Amino acid sequence: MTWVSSTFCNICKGISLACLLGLNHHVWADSSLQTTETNKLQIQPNTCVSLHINQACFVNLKMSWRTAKPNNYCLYSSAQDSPLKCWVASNQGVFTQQFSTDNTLHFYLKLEKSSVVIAASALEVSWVYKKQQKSRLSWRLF
Amino acid sequence: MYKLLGYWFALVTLTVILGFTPGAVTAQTSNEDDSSNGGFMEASFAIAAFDSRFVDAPHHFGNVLNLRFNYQWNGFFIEDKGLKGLGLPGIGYNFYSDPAWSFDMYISEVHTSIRVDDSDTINNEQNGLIGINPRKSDNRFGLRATHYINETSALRLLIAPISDLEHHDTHLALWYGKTWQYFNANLYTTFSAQYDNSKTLNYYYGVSDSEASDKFPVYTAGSGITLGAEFGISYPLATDWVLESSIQFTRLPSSAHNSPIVDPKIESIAQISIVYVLF
Repeated sequence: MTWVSSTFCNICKGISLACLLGLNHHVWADSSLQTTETNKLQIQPNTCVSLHINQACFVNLKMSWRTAKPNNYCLYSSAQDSPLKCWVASNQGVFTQQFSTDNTLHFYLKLEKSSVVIAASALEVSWVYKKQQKSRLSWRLF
Repeated sequence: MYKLLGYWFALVTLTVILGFTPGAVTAQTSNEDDSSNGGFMEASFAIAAFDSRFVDAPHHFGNVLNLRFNYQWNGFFIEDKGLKGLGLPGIGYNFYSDPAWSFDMYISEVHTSIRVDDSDTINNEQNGLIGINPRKSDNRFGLRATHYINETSALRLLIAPISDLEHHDTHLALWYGKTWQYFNANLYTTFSAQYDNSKTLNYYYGVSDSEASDKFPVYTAGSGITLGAEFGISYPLATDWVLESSIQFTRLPSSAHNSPIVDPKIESIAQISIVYVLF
């Protein structure tokens, strides 16, 4: 019985790993440019708090990146297809913009005209009041 | 109070026996969670400036710590609104709820006591009333209807004919409230009108022969409408912390304002608070 459960667990782990690698193959496709310690995309802040669930959260984000080798890089967000900004022959950059979102926003640094992700980061959204209740609306008002 | 609880309990029992339960008639939209049991609780620490309605009341500036909560269980609910409320928490039973309307049987305090040892007062606002006989708080049983105009505004009506005082007149109250978002801040405004007849207002603001003095000549108060307006802002600081500020004005009816125990016609309170959301 123990052997059966252990085998089952290993199969699950294998499937999970395969799924992860499969879903993110474009991230890891180019081993020479993969996300590493030297390729960094940092965002400040990395969490945005709004009052009520499903409300848009507004944040002024500062994104800074650094790579090991100078190249033409572009910064993307999961909210739009076009790049937020591109840099020519650079190995670092800073970009500031205000965003409003009601769910997690992902940011990617890619080589220009390429789908290879050099570095990634995410802005998490959370709420103070996590249940949508009419009673809370009336209770807060009256 | 026990008499009111008796009325409330009898009506709730009858409602449940007739099968008129919130589960049977609730028709919430899928993304709302009003029918579920549970609630919320917040602790608030406020710095408040308060200009009381009572004569010779000191202008108060200080801190106020309070707990606000709302808890629902199978239609029954208990709520305490902190600075917005009076005395005892309101208790009730929600017997109808749909996306636009909600109806409750409700017991709540509608007027605070005067010159009673445990009066729900801020600082020493009633210290200027020495010589005035005590007045008990007015706890009322009534029907409360809330109409949700849309996701950000609501209208509420309270008809409370039964009091634990010797009054059998009706207290009527109407509120309109609206919230809106400006970046991450949430603003709200409410307007209210509350009608009380001469029995109630004379009980609180009249001066009888037995308590009359040079400072407080005999006075008989008539009926009137109390108007209120409030504007507030809430700003999330973190997932459990909120910064709040509000200003509230209460305009007393002439029959109350002309009373010797009342000085300013408009009572006001302004506060800024930090709120910890427990759940």
